Amino acid sequence: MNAIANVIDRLNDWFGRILAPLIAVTTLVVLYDIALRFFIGRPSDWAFDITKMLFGAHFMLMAAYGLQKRVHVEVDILKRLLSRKMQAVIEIVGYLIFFVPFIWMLLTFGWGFFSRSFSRGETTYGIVAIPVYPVKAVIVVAAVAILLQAIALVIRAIQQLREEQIS
Amino acid sequence: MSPEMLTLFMFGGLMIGLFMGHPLAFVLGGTAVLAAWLGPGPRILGTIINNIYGNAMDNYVLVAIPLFILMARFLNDSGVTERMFDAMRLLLARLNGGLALTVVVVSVLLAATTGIVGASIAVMGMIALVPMLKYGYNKELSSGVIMASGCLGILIPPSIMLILMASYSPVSVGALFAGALIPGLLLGAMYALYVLVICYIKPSFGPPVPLEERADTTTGELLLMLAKFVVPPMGLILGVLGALFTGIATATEASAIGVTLAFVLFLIFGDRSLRTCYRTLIEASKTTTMVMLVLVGATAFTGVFSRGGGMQVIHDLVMAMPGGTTGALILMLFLVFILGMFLDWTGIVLLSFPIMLPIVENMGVDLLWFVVMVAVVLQTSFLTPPFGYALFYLKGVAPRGVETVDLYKAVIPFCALIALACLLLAAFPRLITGLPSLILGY
Amino acid sequence: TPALSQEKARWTMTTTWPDNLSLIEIDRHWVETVNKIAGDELEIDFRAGGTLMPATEVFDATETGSIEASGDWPGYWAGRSSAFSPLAATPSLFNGVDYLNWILEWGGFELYQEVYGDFNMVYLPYGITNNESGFMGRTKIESLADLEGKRLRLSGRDQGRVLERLGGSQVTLSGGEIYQAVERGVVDGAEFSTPGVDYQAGFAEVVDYWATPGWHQSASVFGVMINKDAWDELSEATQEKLKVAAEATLAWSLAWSERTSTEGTEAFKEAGVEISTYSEEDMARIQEMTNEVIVEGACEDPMHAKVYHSMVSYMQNYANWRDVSVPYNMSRRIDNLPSLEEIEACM
Ligand code: NA
Ligand code: NA
Repeated sequence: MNAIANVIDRLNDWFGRILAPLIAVTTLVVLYDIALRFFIGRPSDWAFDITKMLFGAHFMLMAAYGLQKRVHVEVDILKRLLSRKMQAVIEIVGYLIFFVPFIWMLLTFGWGFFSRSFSRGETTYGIVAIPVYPVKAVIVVAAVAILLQAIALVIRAIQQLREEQIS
Repeated sequence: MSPEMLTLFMFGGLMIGLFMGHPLAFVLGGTAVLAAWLGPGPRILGTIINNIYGNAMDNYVLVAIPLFILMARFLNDSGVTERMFDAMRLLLARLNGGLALTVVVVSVLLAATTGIVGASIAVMGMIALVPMLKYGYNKELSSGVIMASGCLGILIPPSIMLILMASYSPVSVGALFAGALIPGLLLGAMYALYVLVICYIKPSFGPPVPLEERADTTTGELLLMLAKFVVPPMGLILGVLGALFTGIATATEASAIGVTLAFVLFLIFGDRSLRTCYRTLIEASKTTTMVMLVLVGATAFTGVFSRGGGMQVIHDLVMAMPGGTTGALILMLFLVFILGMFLDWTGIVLLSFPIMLPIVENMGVDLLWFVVMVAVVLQTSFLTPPFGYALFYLKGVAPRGVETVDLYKAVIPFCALIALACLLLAAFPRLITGLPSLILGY
Repeated sequence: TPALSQEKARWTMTTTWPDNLSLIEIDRHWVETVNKIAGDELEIDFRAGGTLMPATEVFDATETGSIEASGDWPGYWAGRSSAFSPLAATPSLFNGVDYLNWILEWGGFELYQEVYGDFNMVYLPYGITNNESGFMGRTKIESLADLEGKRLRLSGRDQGRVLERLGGSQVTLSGGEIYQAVERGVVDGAEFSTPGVDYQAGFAEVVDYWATPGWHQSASVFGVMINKDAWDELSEATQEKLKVAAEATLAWSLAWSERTSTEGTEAFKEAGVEISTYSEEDMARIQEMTNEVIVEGACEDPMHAKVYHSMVSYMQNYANWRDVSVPYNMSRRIDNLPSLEEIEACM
């Protein structure tokens, strides 16, 4: 069990570290667009759409890394008052009633959303036609990564419960 | 499920999840899915994806959010803040409450360059709280001033909160930035005045620093130091806000210019290492995904809430208030204050704007004024228990002896000052609308 | 015989237009008409654009049936199939009456069903607005020569291609950004919509010159997308009522658009905006460029070609009667059309 959690942790850590620099890439694309406008007098044909896509992909794909590093907004002042066993129980229950429905929706409806776009080869409608489905696929990929991370967290909570029961 | 039941179910679920300490994004999203299932039916679940993609991911205005966060991180890593604080602190050392005043001034400057509340409070908590306590400052005044001034970052432009607000209202980012500038500075001035007055009345609250601390540096040297560390951030402010207010650049473009300028400051004052640079990208990415994931959950929540008729329920509730336009406005701002006790600003903007802005528009009230008023009221959301995020940030870095209870007490006078500022802004709306009309012809 | 007791259908419908854009009037007109004549069988809960989901997502939501219907302008979906583009507007080809003729009597309606049908939707065109204003700005554009090197806000791929051939460059800005971009000189000129809508958007405050006619968009079509499953659940009689309401709204919208354009033009004149008109030679040149661009675009997608083939065929066919009824004819008189043979080769 613990081995699974460790593998997931390593995977998402690596995933996050690779994708974090996308934020710098986004900045560079915006700067390129500004430069083009100032020096050549016309904006780029693709920068606007690519900027949005990079932005959307970046924060969604970083979500699992964020979950691992516990950066997502949560309020644990009450939880901290409880025993460690109760904390673990509350954690598991929280994932069951809130996280599971949400991630199920992201996976199933996100998949439909992506495949509708993919099967028609949906593109942006500017002078340059940029495929849209990769960024729609991001929802599903991000959901899988978040689900994995949640599994790791729940495994650790179960472990916690067991240890408390033994001691 | 009737719209009234749906409203109760959704807000009930939200509260339960929040108190359980589950990540807010999943609480919002999970409640939305369950409510869709039980209320309007599973058929509408698809619209949740439409909202997540269309509102959060495919949104050019919001691109400014990660870029302003990155800019703040680079500025933070340049170390300019600490050095600015050191110089200013020595300059004001002999004044009663001088250190607290330094906190306010440096925080306002920091607020005008960046706008991540957590980062500002953590930095000021680390560099200012210990010296203040060491020189015998009142515990509550010290922590209160750090928390309250630290929150100004999200009100004084550039601000990621104002960008989100612009994205969810017909008011432009430029107009909102211009509109929030005076109220933000006004609050800063009120905090400074409060510090001076209270330390004048009760000198023991903020005793002057012993003379020997200052002895080896002349005032001239200090002023030079200040100039060196205040002028570059000022350049950053002028570059970003100037590009935006003159219309040369959109908010997103201005934020990219800001990243560039902050990066230059990092190259001049920072350690210039690639390692620090990479760590900055990681930290900025973490903050971005934190802000945006709440947005993802909140847009799912509001999508279902609106579809299930919840917006109408709240609308009718507000309209049933006696007191006409004034009554409705007071009620709405009060609701924002109450929401601020529990939720963070992302969730509040997403929940309240779709309900409130149409009401405000129908009443013929200036939307720019109202949105900025909400922004000012939201300053309290960081400070009010049970869930005041500024309290958590400061508790995280505070030395032993500063208890949560002290922090709760510390915020009371500052919340009162925010309320006073709201009264002033309601009595003199030109404080908000004046600058936008002057520079943007709003 | 007593009618079959049928349960009343309840639909949620939205649109691409927010509450403060007057194009939403067309959607409202149809919804109100439906509620009047089919209120016993169908109740439509109409929500302004942006309140349920962003405008860009209403297509997907209607396709999946998570909402039953949505008002739109077909051109927004051209990224999914470029055939949506001519269903929405044409550069320098159809005028409003041409669309009316083509939709109701020359096979246009069926083509809307074919294109939207691929996405599990039924489409009822119910709005036509005539010629858009044209470029407005602080720089005078009197002739095509003046377009050289200018930065102009313009939407649409075909429109951008024509402008590029004329030496100008296309700038994409959302509707809300235009006012400031013109005021600050970020663009030399901009097109947005018809004169009535443009005036409402406050353009008279920032522009000094207006170049007519708006060749980039000689007319536009609006309508309602209806999820196929929701449509099939309606009785035939109710379906017929929705169609009748759409035809009534179609006719009304054309007159409404002409009236508001007239009022808008008056208002621009009163505000002191100087109106110029392209010369006949310039118009002939634009027609040539447009014809090339239409063929080029049509050849990128067979369905796109099929729609244009039908439209150009209509123009040729109608010319038989139109030309002998000049000057009393109802439509535009042009002889220089995009090459039907070339389009046919791409189908
Ligand atoms: Na700020
Ligand atoms: Na709070």
